[in-house]
Amino acid sequence: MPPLEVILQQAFNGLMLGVMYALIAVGFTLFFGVLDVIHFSHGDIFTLGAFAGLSLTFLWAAVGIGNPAVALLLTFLGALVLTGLIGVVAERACVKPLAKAPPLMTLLATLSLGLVIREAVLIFYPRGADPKPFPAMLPGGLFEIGGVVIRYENLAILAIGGAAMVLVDLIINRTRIGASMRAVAQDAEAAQMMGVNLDRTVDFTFFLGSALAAVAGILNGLYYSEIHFIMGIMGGVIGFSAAAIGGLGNVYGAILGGLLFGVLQTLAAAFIPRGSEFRDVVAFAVVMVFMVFKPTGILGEKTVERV
Amino acid sequence: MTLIGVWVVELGLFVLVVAALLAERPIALGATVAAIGIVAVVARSSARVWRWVTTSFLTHRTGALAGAAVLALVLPFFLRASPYWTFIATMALMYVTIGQGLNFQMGTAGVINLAGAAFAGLGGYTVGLLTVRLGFPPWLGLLIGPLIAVAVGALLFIPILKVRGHYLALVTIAFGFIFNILMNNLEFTGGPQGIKNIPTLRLFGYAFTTPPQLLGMTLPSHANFYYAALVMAALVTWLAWRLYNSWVGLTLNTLRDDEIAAKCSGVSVARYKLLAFSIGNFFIGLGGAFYAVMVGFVSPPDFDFGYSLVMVSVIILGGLDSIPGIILGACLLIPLPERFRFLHEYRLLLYGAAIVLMLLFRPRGLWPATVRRYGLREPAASFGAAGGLR
Amino acid sequence: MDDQAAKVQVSRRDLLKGGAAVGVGVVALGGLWRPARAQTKRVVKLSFIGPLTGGTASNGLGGRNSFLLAVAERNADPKSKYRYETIVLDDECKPTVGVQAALKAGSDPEVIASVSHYCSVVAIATVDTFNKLGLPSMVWGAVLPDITYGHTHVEVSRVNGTMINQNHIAADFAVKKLGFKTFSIMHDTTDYGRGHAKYFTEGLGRVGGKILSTTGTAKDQKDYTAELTKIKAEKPEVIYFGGLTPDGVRVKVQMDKLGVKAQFQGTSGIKSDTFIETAGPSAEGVYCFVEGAPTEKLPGGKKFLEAYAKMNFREPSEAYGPFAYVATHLIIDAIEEIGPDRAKLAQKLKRTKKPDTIIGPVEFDEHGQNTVPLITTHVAQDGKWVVWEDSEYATGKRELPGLRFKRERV
Repeated sequence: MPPLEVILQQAFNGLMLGVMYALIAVGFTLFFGVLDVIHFSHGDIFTLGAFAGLSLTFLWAAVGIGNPAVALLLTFLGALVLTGLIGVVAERACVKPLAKAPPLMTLLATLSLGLVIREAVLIFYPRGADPKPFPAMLPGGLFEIGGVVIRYENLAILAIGGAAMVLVDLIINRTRIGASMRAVAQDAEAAQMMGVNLDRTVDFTFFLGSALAAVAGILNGLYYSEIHFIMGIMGGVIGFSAAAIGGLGNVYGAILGGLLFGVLQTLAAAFIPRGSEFRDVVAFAVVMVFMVFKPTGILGEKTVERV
Repeated sequence: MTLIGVWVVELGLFVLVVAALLAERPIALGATVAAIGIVAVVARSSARVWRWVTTSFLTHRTGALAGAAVLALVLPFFLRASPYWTFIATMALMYVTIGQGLNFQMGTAGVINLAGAAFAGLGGYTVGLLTVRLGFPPWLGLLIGPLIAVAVGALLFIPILKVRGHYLALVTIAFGFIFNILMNNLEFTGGPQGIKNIPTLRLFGYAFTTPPQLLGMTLPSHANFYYAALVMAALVTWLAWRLYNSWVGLTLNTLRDDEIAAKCSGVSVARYKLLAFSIGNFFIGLGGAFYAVMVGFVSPPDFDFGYSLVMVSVIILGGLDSIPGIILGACLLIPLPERFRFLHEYRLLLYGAAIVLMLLFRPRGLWPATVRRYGLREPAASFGAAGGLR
Repeated sequence: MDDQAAKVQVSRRDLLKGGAAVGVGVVALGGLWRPARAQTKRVVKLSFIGPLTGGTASNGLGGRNSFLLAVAERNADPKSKYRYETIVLDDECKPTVGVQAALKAGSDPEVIASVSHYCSVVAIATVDTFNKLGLPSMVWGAVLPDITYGHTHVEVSRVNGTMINQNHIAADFAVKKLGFKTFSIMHDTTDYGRGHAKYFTEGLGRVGGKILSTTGTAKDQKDYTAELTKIKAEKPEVIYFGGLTPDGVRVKVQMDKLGVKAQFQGTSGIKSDTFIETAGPSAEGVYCFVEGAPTEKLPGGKKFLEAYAKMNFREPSEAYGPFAYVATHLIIDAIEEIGPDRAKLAQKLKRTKKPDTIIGPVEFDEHGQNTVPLITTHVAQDGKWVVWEDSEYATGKRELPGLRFKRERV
């Protein structure tokens, strides 16, 4: 039995990882909820968000914005808007034109788009093949509680991630556009008859989801101090998995799924012999077991069985 | 008269394909691409030409098929200077085999499978383990490999019969990753190096690695595998065609389009889904097993998630539930990125963009499935008609 | 049915159009036959195969650039008997793609030799392919021993060393020279990482270092906090990582974030400018081992780096660029001597011997393996890789972070 502080430290590691996954997963679940599509390039939009954030930090440094808090805020805002807009472009280019085609077409189109985005970062970002250092913009330093090392930047990352999720919840439940999203999610046709602008709602959904991916991307950069163009592959696969364990279309489910995945991976690596080699086996196996008992996710709706 | 026209069209396309494969110099390649463009534009812009082509191919289906078969048989002679293109052509045929299996699952039955590479890998690894570790002859491995893919697939599938749609996508993705990590990290599968020195096929003492002498010409040794793959792909396609046109295919279509209605008509959804999944995995596993004997080794990176996506791309781009579409999809998607190798690091970028564009212009695939026709010529095929399944 | 009518009309203009298109195709096919162009020198083609896309692309691109540089130098040399053309192929670090690339190179009869592979898993897969094609191939970056020692084919040789050598020296260095006693080993579960871990373990066994744990991680893994937290509790003096730059950067940076103060020891895979640039201050005091003499210090090496800079490549040459460069020169030397004949060339290359290259003396054993006499230790100092003997760490002016940690702990 490992000492308690190690267990707590590992749980904290898992939580950090889970928050990043959750932010990506929320995007997947939003797109699915509103449009019934899986937007598989979302993982690469997450990469794009991180790279947009990185580029902006250089821009702010170049124009002489020295205050780290201001620079950080501007980095977030800029990357959010930029990535959000790219998300909308992706939707207009690859999702909407295929709305009437079989859903698998969207799957392939968005997968291919993801490949295009990934390779574009590799080729067009200066020396894009290399991992890139991400500047530290959060307060350094650390403190210890009961043997658990906690860095201030980790707390800031948790706070920012948490705030982003609360904000999304508020937008969905307390605003007009959020009401439109919920309406479209329930019944697109009926919503349109009630005067909901379908195109605008869908655009906004993709803007919101992609902006969240940008938050995840920047937080990833801040947490690991490094970003790489291929990080979207696993980011996307795990983000989608998290959204599906939680129940597609359910925002809370996505958050729960993300945290679960992060904690599972960490605990598997930490406490199972040779677990590090097999951590994704453990995580995915647990996912499969969940599916046996909850075929539509933990918080997913029950499908009606009429026969 | 029209039959000869059909053959002329086929021969013309064949010439274009061979030219497109072999053109090395930019001028030759440019001219070939231009010619293909002209043909495509002429064929599609003139309704008369298109209608003539389609109607004459439909009326002379047997003749057209015979012509295509002859051309497929003589292709290695034109590619004999290049073992590389012979190999790529063989790979395309292997993907036809895998594509028919995957299409039977995803296109016909609507059972999503994003772990195609893992099932192919089960076939391939079985061959590797049986032949190298236990000394089985490769032919036997080629037979057992697909069966193992079926068995593992069934074990995976039975507990999750209730899982559907995108959730099934998740389960299969998860399975694909688990398979890959296990192969990479377990000792008995050879770890990251995989299994090497898988013995080659032998037919009456004739090793498939010897360059064949045919009609006074020496072909590269890969031509052996080309012909083997041709037989395999043709057989699998024929089987898929029979299945599709049988009661099984029809039932699976019903089940895909409306599960509840299918249940109401007394279809055992679980059994039919499992059947479709197993038949599909057999073909996919066969493709993987063939791959193992062809290249002589298997290793984890050959069966990773990326290859599952290539397999899905083949069937979606070709046309879901469209058997000729799968052939077209495989024969386009496998050679195409090879053809664009001279683009170096821009290759994958443009490949992705090309797929997106093709989907936008042909959102149902390049050769979409046609609506089933009944009672016109073919009597209901006998397979499954006896109702032995229910 | 208007089938009949359509048929009649078709046989006129539309068929003509179709015929014209087929004609163009035939012309295009005709374009395949190259007219023999009058040329002063005969053309000889060389191919390069390496990962140009995917996670290890930076190494592949650095190797490719070095290959192109060597060919450009020989083409500019008026003494060259042949004009060298290049074919560059991407193996994506995947075995199947590598086999296809090797086949493509070998299918072109004008290609006489290939400079191939950075990734071990690909290099081992293509050995048989090169053998069947009869195409001589010199490996420039893959370090798995079996690539040369696992077969008897004459076609495959290797200019860089194997991981066996490197790790035995690495173990000696850490235990005997620096006095470290306890090690936690991490590797990326690829051929490369797993092999390194295996031979380093072997090396430690010979000199009596103690291994606390061995941890395999996924390639391109992002989060190492779980593994490192576990390792931290074992309190090792050294964390050894067998893997490539991207993962190495992550392990080292996350070690610092979690307050793991053990010494970080890497393998040849992290000796890249990228490692130092990306890890930033975390890179200070990291050491690793590369086969061959230190490029910067040999006269030819300096020339290589200057010439490389002059070509204005977008990517740096990275650790194995010099090996690709040397391999290319060795192949061209042999072609100049015995002419462009694959079979003869393979025999010749198998027993290559040359006293002065930019990686030091080269001598291949009967397996076509360069028996590199030299392993160079590099340490990161002030944002640069410095040869150990020249560093302030060796002179005692600075103390390795791991040694300080060890001293303070006692």
